[in-house]
Amino acid sequence: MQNYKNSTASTSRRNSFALFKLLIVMKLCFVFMFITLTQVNAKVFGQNASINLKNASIAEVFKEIKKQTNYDFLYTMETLQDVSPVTINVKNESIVNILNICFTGQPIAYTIKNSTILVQRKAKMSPFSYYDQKAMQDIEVKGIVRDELQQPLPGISVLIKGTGKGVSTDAEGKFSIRVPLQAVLVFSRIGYKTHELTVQNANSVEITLVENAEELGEVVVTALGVKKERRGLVYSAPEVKGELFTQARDNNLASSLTGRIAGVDATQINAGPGSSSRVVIRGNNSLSGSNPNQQPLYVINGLPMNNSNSGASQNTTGLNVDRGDGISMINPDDIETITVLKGGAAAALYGSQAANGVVLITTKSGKAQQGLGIEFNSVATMGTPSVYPNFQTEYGQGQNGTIPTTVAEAQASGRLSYGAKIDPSIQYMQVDGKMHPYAAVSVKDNINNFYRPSSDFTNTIAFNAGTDKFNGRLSLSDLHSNSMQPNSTYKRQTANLALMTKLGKNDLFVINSNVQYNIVDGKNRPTVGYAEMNAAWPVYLIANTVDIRNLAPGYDPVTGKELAWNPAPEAPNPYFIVNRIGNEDHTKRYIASTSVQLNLDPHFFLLGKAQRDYQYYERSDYVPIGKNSTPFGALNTSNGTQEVTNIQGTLNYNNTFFDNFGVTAMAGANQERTTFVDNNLNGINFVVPDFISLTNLGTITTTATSTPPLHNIIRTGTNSLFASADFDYKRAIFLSLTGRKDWFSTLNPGSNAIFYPSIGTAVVLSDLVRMPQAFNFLKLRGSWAQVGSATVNAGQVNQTYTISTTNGYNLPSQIVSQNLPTPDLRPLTVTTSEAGFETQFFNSRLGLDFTYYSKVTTNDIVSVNISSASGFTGGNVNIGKVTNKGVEVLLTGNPVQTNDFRWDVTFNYAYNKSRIVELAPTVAEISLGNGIQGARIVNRPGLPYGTVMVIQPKYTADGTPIYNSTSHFPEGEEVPYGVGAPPHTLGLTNNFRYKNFSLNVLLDGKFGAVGYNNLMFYATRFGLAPMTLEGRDNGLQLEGVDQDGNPFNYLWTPENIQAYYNQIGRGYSALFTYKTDFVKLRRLVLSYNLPVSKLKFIKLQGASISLVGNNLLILYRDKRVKEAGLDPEFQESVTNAQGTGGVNMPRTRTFGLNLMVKF
Amino acid sequence: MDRNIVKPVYKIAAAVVALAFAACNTDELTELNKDPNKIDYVIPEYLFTQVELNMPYQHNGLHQGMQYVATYKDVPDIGGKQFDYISGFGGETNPFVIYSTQFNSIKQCMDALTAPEDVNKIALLRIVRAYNYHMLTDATGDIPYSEAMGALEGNLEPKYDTQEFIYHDMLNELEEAATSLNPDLPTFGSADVLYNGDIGKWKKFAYTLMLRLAMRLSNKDEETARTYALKAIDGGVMSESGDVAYLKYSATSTNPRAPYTEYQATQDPDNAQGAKLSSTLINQFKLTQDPRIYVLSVVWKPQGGEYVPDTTMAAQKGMVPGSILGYPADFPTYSEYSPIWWNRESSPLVLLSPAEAQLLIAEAVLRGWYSGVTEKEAYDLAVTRAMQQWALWPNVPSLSPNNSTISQDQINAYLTTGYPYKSGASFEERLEQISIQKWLSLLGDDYEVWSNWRRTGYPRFNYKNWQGNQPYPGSVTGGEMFRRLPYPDERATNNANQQEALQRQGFPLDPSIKAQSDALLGRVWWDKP
Repeated sequence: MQNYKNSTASTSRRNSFALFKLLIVMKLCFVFMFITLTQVNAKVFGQNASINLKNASIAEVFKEIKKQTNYDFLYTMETLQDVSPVTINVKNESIVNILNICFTGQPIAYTIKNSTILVQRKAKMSPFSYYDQKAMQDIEVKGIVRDELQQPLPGISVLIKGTGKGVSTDAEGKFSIRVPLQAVLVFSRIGYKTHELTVQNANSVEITLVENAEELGEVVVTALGVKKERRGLVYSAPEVKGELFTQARDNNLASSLTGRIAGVDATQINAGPGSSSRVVIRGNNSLSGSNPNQQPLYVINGLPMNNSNSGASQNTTGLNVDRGDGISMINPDDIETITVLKGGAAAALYGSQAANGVVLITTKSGKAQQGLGIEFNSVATMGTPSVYPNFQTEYGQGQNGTIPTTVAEAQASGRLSYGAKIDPSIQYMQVDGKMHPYAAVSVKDNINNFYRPSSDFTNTIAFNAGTDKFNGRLSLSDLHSNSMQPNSTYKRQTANLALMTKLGKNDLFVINSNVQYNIVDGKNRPTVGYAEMNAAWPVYLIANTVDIRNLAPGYDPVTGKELAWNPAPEAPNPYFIVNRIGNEDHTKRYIASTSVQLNLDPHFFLLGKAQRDYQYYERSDYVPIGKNSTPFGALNTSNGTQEVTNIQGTLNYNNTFFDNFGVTAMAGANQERTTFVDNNLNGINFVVPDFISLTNLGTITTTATSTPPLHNIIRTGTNSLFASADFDYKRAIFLSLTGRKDWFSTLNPGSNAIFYPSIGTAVVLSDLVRMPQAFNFLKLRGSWAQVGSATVNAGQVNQTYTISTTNGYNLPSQIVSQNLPTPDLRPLTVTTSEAGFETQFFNSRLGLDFTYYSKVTTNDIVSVNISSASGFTGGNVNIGKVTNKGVEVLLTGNPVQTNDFRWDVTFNYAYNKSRIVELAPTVAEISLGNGIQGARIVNRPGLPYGTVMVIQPKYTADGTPIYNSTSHFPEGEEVPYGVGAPPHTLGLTNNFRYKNFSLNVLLDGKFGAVGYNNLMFYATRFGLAPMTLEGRDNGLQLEGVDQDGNPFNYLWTPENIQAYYNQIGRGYSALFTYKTDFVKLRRLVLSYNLPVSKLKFIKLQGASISLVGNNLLILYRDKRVKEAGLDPEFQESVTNAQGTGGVNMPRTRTFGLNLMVKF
Repeated sequence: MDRNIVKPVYKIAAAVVALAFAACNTDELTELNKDPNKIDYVIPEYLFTQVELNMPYQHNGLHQGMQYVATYKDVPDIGGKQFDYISGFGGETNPFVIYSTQFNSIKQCMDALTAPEDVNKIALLRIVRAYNYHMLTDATGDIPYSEAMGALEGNLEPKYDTQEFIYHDMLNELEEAATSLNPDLPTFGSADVLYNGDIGKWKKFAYTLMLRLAMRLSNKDEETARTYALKAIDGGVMSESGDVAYLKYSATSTNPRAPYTEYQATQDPDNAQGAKLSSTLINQFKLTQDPRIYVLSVVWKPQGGEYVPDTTMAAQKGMVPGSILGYPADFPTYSEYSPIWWNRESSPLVLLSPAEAQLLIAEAVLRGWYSGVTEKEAYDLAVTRAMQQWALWPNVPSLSPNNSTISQDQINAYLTTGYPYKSGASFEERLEQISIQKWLSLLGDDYEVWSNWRRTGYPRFNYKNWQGNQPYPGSVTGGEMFRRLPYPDERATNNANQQEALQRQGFPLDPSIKAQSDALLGRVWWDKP
């Protein structure tokens, strides 16, 4: 193998142009092959030409011939080195004769293939028989071809470059061929990047072919599961292969999309394993906040699945945990591909559900193979905190400059660092009743001492067997995750069975069945958001001289009563949280689908599909007797079912006319029904301690009208008709049309239907016109579509009343809905248009995909506030106009490629500019949500989507601070500070492969957003933030002007400084609002593919071992974020109200090991 | 083609066509949209019950402002600190939510009552409407009134009416409603949780409310005030214990006057973010040997690992409002509410009482408008009814150290030696005594006590207690009690009308939260300096 170092690599060291030249050669070969394949020019020999040239370069002769005939020449400038000038004067001479004249005595030879003349350097043999094997000085080359996972690749074409001759690899990927020395072997197969090898002298080679996602002729899954050739797509539809999700994995599949696809913003909050994700495609369309959920439609194997979110909400008290979303239950190991339909035209066939884009998931299916195939994958990862806040360590625990001397004083100042100057030689009293040194305790140590490293184990085994006619795949997977928060675990077990059978003559029936069954168990999931049940809150915010471990075990072992460490019962003892309170959830879910395809003749088939996504869940959480804020305890329980059923039938037709016109047409109908049932039973006041049962409660608090209610049922349905037609001419010009009409149950007849059209076209320009040599491929595409949605909950458009008997009289009372009935509500419309191009250069070693898009949402359905004085607080109305415009760029490159080493780069970048163009005249603003005690996230006309409004101290035009003459605090004003969701997103993937090693490095970045941080709000109130140091000794002198413009002077004395910073903390949210820009080293995978062919005794088909890392480094963040010691991704919510963060568990950095074995 | 195969082909084709037709059928879809847990029509009796349950409103800040309680820094106390903006009516960020809950219910109930004999039912709804409207306008000033509740008719932006107009209309409404009441016509019967359909008691309710509203105008429009005060007294106001209008609560119903849930269960000093009874109240109790101190006040003392209640008068200690920066280590030693008081979910809530009616009569006599009784007679009756009222509270021996019933002997002692009516004192002294007694007797009805304080200036509260006599550091009002609550921010919903109202009343035009808190010292129409 050593001898087979690729000649290109060594050349490139000598000559910087060599690579470029090689690329030209490769390009020429490609053009040659392409012309051959498509037989565009079938001119016969015997054309003549007249040439009169004196002392001309041979290239000029070629040019002249080309001008007069249909012949093309293929050569490189290198080929023509030291070729003598020629003098020729012929009239109407045959081409062969002309060439013979010019080539006599030259070091080059020619070959005519159809209308192409290939010019090459002469070998030692006769110039006219260069490719005549008999005459060659041949050697035998043997070898084996494998894929990146070291699986042998059968059926790989091994061609001697420039000859069209060659062999294929056998079932074990082996080949043997006789070739001349210096000949170039071309290894190719659709779906893989072509590999070239110059034969030097040895006779045994090992070749690894790399999959090529952008390969021409590649097939992608599009709307309704229809497979289309990528070259014919009229829109951008990036696809991600399943492998990317399995090595360095996120437990939530959707979060793995981070940085992968331009225009797809995927985030996850830090709420422990199994938490939900937020995926937004090309910006937000809809003006509303969290409801309805505006995440894309997730489609699994062609039909929609339920992605309802049990995520954490903003600014809530009590148990606020993230129990994940629908996508978080899907096992990454079962994913074949994920395709993202970003634009309207791509998704229009999904109608109403597609307004936010579509994520198409195709799960793995069986494959024909001999015997039983077994694949085993095991992953173990460990996570530790990655970022720590920077707090002051000059003044310790206490109030008004004093050091606590009694337990009562220690408790009074438990979360206040307004004490004396820190002095480790002083002993002082803490809430545990013991004396401790008055020494700074780093919040970093407290975080590391309270939390444990997280661990995560996933084992998946998959079996595959069958023939072309009948095959199946079964996978079983087990995930066990221990959160960083002690006693918190998450488990997920999945089973996935895919069966396919073909029956009858010519595969008359093709039946596909797919069932997946998932069991998810969460235990003691960490609380996020506000304090009450949130263990992170005290760990971060306890006074800076207290070791958090002094609060352990958090309760009195005899009475069970929480050990209070501060005056606010809502600020809990973190050890009480992890040791005493609890929550559990169990979800069982199946997604079962069957499709029957009836192939009536080669051009026509019927396809029926049905899928049911059903889940049953049980959830509970409790606080035992003894928690200071809930002294007698509480228990909440709920269970329910969620069912989404789709039945679909389509008639499909495809044919080709006049050899060049292709037609694919489809028409069908779909019926979707969803039923969500939720039962709740909550109560307070346990009778017997430590007996957590509904039967042990003093009072049941759940009623028909409480929140949550005893019983809640939501039923919705959508009926749809749709059709599509795709036309192509010579597979180079494509036209795509779709139409769909939806009828919604949530709107009233008369205004409940909407039609969605789309049209798109794509032109493969490189097939139609002659392109500069560097271009391999150029496609232009453009599309326009309208999609819409009825984003309103069941039963909301009409006036309804609930009946309650929850009162002191047990009498029925009737409660009027505060929601304005709007019986004429219509569906909203999203109009999208996009244009773009895809191009590949230098033998596909460089690719660029560019898209510009524009989305306009009109008549949005928004639950707006109206003046309550009109009788209702709000209602759903059709209002507004939102625009999102943006560009997406995907650059792919293969800068280095040798036999042993290969470097691939993928860079994606997206920019989305949103704007609220108008709301209704009566609606000046729509609120999306609030940060905890801080920012408001709003939509206002003229501002971008999701603007973060915060209160900022006021200054005069020349920068003088303005103070209130009565309160002596800064005057404040509410200002728009920025947007919560980043407009710029980018991802950079570098993939290096050296022999059996590969290294995949993903960087991702987001820019242009801001976020309000509640941790820093409290850190300032409590005297932890460094900014609170000013004025502790001598007071803080304020100078400026007052609200009337008069000079203002005021000294906040050291005795009052605590009151000053307390109000600075609570009153001016702008001070805690940061630019959340970042670039992170998101993911790193170092893999070693075991050379299984050398380990024949264990009969492995393939094996690899990988070191993986996630969230490894913050390469860039804003200065203020860095100073505060925050992770710029501190968002607390997966709703549309982005731009706020609470006090959450630390972000983690994870490392792990991944083992894959195939038998 | 094989016949066996053709058959299923037709079946599948037929199924596809059937599915296509099903897709166009919207009847079944419409049926799906009906929530099985809700109805879509009004049952007037049930709705009226809800209207009565909706009557009380509460604002914890007022409770502190009226110095029933005091607290330390961490809680934004309004009774002496006012270092932050405050929420609006009902403690809500959207104080106009009362329209969409209460006034909308009243309107929809009235709309459903179309029979000619529904006179009493309509009258009751008008009385309740006036009861709730006056609370709202007292707190905020001009409000949407004549054009309110117009959403279903398409008016989403109602204009604000002047408080003067609203007061005159409410007085007129009460008069019309009271005179239309007819014992021979149908009532809401048992759905009427206040009076079980007793029209006579409703009449007293209407006239007592009229007297309250009339007296509110004593400084601003004495003529109207006197006229309606006399009409009310002539019509008959509450005088017997049984006349009291109160609501009962169960353990699961939410009692709007249960301000600090952490009190409800704990009998130890951990109710830290809650408030302690203020020195103003405790000193008043002690000074007058008020028997209510035993019902209301308790100090929890540690004893053998537990806390036991100490209700002796000597042990009671009030916290000086606005005097403490930071949680004091002696916090547990201050008096706090006895658990029988309003921190129990099952505590009753008084909406309108004979004690208030009689204190209003005392004031009418004091002002020389009425002479059917003496001031002292009215005052003594008021105090008697106020103290007897505590018998409505549940006696919970396991939680409560004292019986809530106050004996006639205790009442008599209070009226003769504790705090006897100062018949011979000056007008201002007598007005002060009547107002202090209102403050004590209406404990819990803080909107009314606050309005009475704004009108009369009594009781005299001291809001500047920091370091002796300073306003609390950072107080946004410089140590003054606010005189109105902010409107909701209607920039997004009804801006032009709100701007007009702000301008008319001379309040700052910026409706943002910060500016609103600057306007806390603004005065409503009847609040004449």
